[in-house]
Parts: sequence; structure tokens; C-alpha cells
Amino acid sequence: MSFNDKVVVITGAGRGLGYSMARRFGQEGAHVVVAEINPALGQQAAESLRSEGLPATYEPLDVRDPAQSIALVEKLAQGHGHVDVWVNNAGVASIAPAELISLQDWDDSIAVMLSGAFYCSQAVGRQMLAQGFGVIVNIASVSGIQYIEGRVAYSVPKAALIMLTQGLGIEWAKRGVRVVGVAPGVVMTEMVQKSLDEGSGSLDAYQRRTPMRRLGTVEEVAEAVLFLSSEQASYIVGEVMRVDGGWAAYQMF
Amino acid sequence: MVNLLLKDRVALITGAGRGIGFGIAEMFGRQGAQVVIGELVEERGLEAAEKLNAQGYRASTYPLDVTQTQSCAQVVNQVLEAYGRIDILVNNAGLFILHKSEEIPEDIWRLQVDVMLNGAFFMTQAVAREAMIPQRRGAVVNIASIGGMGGWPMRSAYNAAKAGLIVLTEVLATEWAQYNIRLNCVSPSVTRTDMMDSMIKKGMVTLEKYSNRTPLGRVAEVSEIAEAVLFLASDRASYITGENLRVDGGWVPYGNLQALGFPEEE
Repeated sequence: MSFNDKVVVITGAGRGLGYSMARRFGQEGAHVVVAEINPALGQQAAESLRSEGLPATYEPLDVRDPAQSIALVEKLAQGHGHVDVWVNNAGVASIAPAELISLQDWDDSIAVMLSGAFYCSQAVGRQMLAQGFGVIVNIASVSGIQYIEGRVAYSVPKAALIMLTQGLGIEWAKRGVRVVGVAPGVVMTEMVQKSLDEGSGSLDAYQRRTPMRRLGTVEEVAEAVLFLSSEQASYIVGEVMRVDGGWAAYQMF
Repeated sequence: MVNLLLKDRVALITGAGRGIGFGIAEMFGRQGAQVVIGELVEERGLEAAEKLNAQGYRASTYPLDVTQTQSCAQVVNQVLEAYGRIDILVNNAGLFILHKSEEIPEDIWRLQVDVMLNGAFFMTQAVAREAMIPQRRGAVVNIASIGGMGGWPMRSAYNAAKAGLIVLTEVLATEWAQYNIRLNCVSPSVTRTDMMDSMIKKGMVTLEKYSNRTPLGRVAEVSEIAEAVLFLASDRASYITGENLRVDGGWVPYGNLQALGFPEEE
């Protein structure tokens, strides 16, 4: 197992994509830290992983508060001696026309998916630079590459997260810290479910728009994250890999 | 727990006699694939296949000139006759000739586009038509280059061919997703290959310049490119198609304020 004894932190791992990544890393022998803002979800996720025999712990984390990520990194460094992989996965999904979206939703989206990812990266980046190794994986989105109406608060921080990935990747590469990302297409997650519930997207429309004619699974995204985090990806730096069934490549009707 | 990623997959790799192609063949062999080496230089192909077989992998080779559509068709038929299917195609055959664009002779331009763009297309067309579409399954990995993503003086034919290959990959990915065929690119930056080593020996390039320009501070090893190709060719990448994966140590997005200036000649 390629992640034996590695400490892997995943933000927003209480459910959905984050949970499936936690599970996948756990299967590869990692000690998984479920960093989650919702204590009930986080505890439940960690318990469910442990019930499968996967070593997992829950740690409360609101990525919007830099003091919390600093404290978490310190705690993990003291407890384990190292942090090997950190996945910035926490996200919020606000869908509304740009002229109507509340500034609170906008601010919160930026705070979680952009500033939060940076705060976490800086906190864990300091630790990784000090230890001389580590991988940070940012979960971006094809929405950070191509725009869909109503996604202003989602697309803009995701687009910025792609440049953050490139920037930190370039800045820290020589010192052993790789920063990479994944841009999932339409995967059955909270964001997609919400758009279905609110009627701003339909399952049929998503499938028709995707060259592979199906949605992605959370496991397929988790597999990409696992690959990019591994030693096999040692020369991949500042790259955001699309896992989108051909979504972003498709430019026609 | 040994889990071979390409167990019993039939993988055809063009230009696999040496360099990145051989590295891919070796890695595929290690992962349980039946490796088929398409090689312009027959001797080189035989040697490469022998080397792989000596390591306990399964490899065979056929002479292949990707600039000849008949040659592509023939190799595809031979592989199908021998193994019954083609699961993976890696379009890797390539060549690189440095030339001032205002003086590049027509044949030197055409050869590079012929091998790396036209050749990749006709090879892919033959494999898709004869094998992957009827099978309703397949994975193609095209070896592009970071050269296909921007301006490098004196590399007009190479870079244009590689850029063409990147978009070709997107087109075919969207067109053939319905047949369960995935197509992706890997775009390496400068890699320690035979081609690279011979250029260093001839004094055409020094590695130092490339290492210094790379955020990671070194050039790529062949195995690092092969790992990315393996990932995309395997079922681990089942939802990835039409992607161009940079394996470049951060080269392309780097602004590089320590630029050396624009060389008139190299």
C-alpha cells in the first residue's frame, strides 16, 4: 500500500467527494484526518472509516479561520511528526444570478474555497517546507475553466484556486513540496444535487452535455487525487488535472 | 497484494524502441500488458522487445512507419491477428529538428508534421476503426509536449504538430466517447531521453538551462513520464478524457523573471 504511515488531511471530508477521498487514502494505508466544520458529519465519517478498519480521526476545522488550520497543523505535527498530504476540498455551493446573489454568499464562497484553501496551504506549507516533503491537492472544478450561468460565486474562487495551485506549485517545488489540483466535471455531489433540487440544472442536461454521457463518480475523482498525491506523480507540479468525462474539451452545441 | 494495472491488455506503442516510448513499454510490461512495439528502425524494435522479454515481460515488435497509412493499417492488422484486440494505443513516435522558421526546408517541416500529427491521426484512425470502436472500448494516450502549448523560437514545425495533436485529442475524445474510447495527452517538458542525451553530446543544448528554467529545478526522468501515461491508459482514469496532462515540473505556468533573453541561435 503506497500510503502506509502517511498522514493525509482532507478538508470537508465529512461527506461526498471528501469522504470518498478519505476512504481511498485509508485503503492505501494512510492515517486519514477528516477535517470538517460540521462535528456530527465529521465524527460520523471518521467512525464509518474506522468501522471498515481504516485508521481515521476527526478534527474540527473551519477553513475560514486561519488560526484553526495553524492549530491543526501544529497538533498533527506534534502527534505524528509529519503531514504528508493535504487536500483542500472544503466547498460551498451558492447558485444565483450574478445581479442578485447576496454579498454574504459571495464573501463566504471566496472565504471557504479561495482564502480558506490559501490559509490551509500556508499553514501546512510551512510544516511541509520545514520537513522537506509534502503534497497539497486543491479540488478545483471545470466551473473554474468554463462558466455556467448562476455560478459566479462558485466559478470565480475555483478559477483563482487554479492559479493558486500553479503559484504555490512553482514557489515550493524546489523545496520538496508539490502543489497540484484536480478539476472534476459533473460528479454527483452536493453542488450538483443542489442545482438539481433548485432546478438550475437537470440530470438529463448534464448527461447530454458530457461527452462520456454520464456523470463522474466520487471514486473516479478520488483515484485522480490519489495518483497526483503519490510518488508516481513526482514531476507533476502546478498542474490541475481535469476529471470531467470530456466536459471541458467539448466546445460545440 | 500485487495488482497489475494493465493485466493482459494489448498495448501498441509507436516509436517504442528507445527513449520515452521504451520507458512506457517497460512500465506497461511490468504492469502485465502484452506490449507491441511499433518501430521505424526494425533492429531497434527487435532489440527493445528482446530486452523486455528478457525481463520477463511480454513484448513483440513490428516495423512501422507512421507517415505511411498502409504501414499503420498493416501493423494494426498484424496486432489483431496476433492478439485479437488492441486495448491501448500510445502515439509516441516523434522527431525534432531545430531550424530557423524563415529558412526551414519544406521537407523538414512536412516530416515533423507528418510523423507527429498526421501519423498520430492515421494510426489512431486505424486502431479505432479496426479495434476500439468494434470493441466498444479503448484508451489512447498521445505524447504531446509543452512545446505544443506555446512559443519556442526555431521549433515551428514541432510545436505546431504537438499543438495540433493536443486539439486532435480533444476532438476525438468528444467524438468517440460514445464508443467508450478515452483519449488523452501527456505533455512532458524536457526529459532525459536518448534524443536529449545525443543533443547534449553534440553540444546543441545543455541541461543546465532547462533545469534552471524549471520550477522543480531539474529535467524529467523517462519513468516520470511513463507513470503519467500508465495512469491515463489504465482504468484508474476511467472518467478522464480529452485532457492534456502536463508533466513538466511547473514549466508552462511559470513567469520566469530570470529569463535569459531571446536566443538568435542555439
